[in-house]
Amino acid sequence: MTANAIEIKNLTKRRGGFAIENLSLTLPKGCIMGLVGENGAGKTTLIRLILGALQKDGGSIAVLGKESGGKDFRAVKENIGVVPDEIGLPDSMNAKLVGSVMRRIYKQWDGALYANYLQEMSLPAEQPFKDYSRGMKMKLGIAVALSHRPQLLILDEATNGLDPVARDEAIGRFAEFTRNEDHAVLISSHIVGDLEKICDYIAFMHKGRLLLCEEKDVLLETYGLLHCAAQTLADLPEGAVIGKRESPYSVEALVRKDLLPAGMPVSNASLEDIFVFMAKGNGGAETAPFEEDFFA
Amino acid sequence: MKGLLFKDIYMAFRHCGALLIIALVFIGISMADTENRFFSTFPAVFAGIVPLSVLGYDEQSKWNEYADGLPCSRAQMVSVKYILGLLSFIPFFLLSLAGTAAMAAIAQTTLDLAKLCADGALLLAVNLFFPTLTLPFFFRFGVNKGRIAYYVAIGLLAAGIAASGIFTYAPDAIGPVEIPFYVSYILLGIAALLFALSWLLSVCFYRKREF
Repeated sequence: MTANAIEIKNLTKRRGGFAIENLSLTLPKGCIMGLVGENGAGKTTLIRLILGALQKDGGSIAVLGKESGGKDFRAVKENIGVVPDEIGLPDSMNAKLVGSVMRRIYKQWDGALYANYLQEMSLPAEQPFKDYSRGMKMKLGIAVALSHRPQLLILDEATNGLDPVARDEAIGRFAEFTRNEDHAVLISSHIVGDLEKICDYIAFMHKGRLLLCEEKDVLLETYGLLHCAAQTLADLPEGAVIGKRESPYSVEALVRKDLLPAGMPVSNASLEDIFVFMAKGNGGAETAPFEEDFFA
Repeated sequence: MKGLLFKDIYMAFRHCGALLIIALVFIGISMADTENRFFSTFPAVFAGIVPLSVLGYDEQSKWNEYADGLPCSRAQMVSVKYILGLLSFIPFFLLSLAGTAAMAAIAQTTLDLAKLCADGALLLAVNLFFPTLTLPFFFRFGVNKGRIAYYVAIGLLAAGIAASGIFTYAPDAIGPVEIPFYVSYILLGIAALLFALSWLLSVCFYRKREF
């Protein structure tokens, strides 16, 4: 039995002008990993590679100990719950019929658990899927993903479209899911605040590259925000400044706390600060207009 | 696989019911105009359209991408459409059979079982032709681009069925020159072989398709 839910080594995938290059990442069991990055950073491509839906050009991906896309991978998928960014269930079906389909697809399908989720999430079982709101569709996707008792949840923007209360409930459900130490969650989201609440690890993708993959607490401990004059910033040791935002009056910079001179006042950086500054520092603004509230 | 088939059968009933009604109209016309094979044969084409329609709905709802997260292989996703193509022949064939029986009752003649089987074989061959020609394109290029193959297939079938009248009746129209029954079975054999090849080709295409 492997201790890791996902192990990716030197993954390479090229699609048109986009490429994931030499990406390595490990998600241990019992943990939640947040995958963040701008639109087009490669998060969905990575998730589809993990699911074996895309063919890799190089490297290896092991999911629950088996090679992704390999011969036994269909059996592995029995233990994976997936919530894609768009729940592709037929519009004319209702939740009850979806349950009938899934019962015939998943060997481990638990109809009673599914009915329970529908009730908890206030999802009308007889209402056609096309009449559901985006939030309801996402909830149904989550209910389907959980009702076969998977070991690994893969969520691609699964909290998007949910109202704050429903988002909080969903996040609570994912956190609850990893109380079992054999379980793991990989969740991609733009809503960094959600990830900050539940994730143990954060992986940050930018233009197909993994800029960092680190424990959340280590990230929050390592980086800080410095407000100072431009000259003060220029005097800091090399490598201390990760990214900066300049105004005519002052400079705000993301810095590595351990490289700063002792006694320099640094405020705590949120994950959102870290990613915004890192993305800008890595040329995010060159390719597309970067929205300040992107991670809001 | 059972789940995929369950879903597709539901989708076929939900969205392709109108085809049965149109087929009923065609069979009704064929009863009034017994010399024209077009109206009696074309309902078999409708049966062939069913898997394509369901595939179209799948693509619209992004089911194909969603199904990649389910414990189903790409080969199964393809196979279920071919199986649906075969299954959808049943209601159309039964309808055609009912039309033939009704005609026999009106004309107060007995049903010729050998002819009935040969006609059934011919209908099935026509039914198989449509998904055989179009599904590989749909699985390779998606529904939008695959539609070109769809129009080509419709044109070929319509022309083929119309042309078949030349062989059914003598040019001087004195009376029908029946084609031997075995021709229908040969055509069915060829259609079945091409259907199987098309199935394999679609699996190859769809395994490599990237969304």
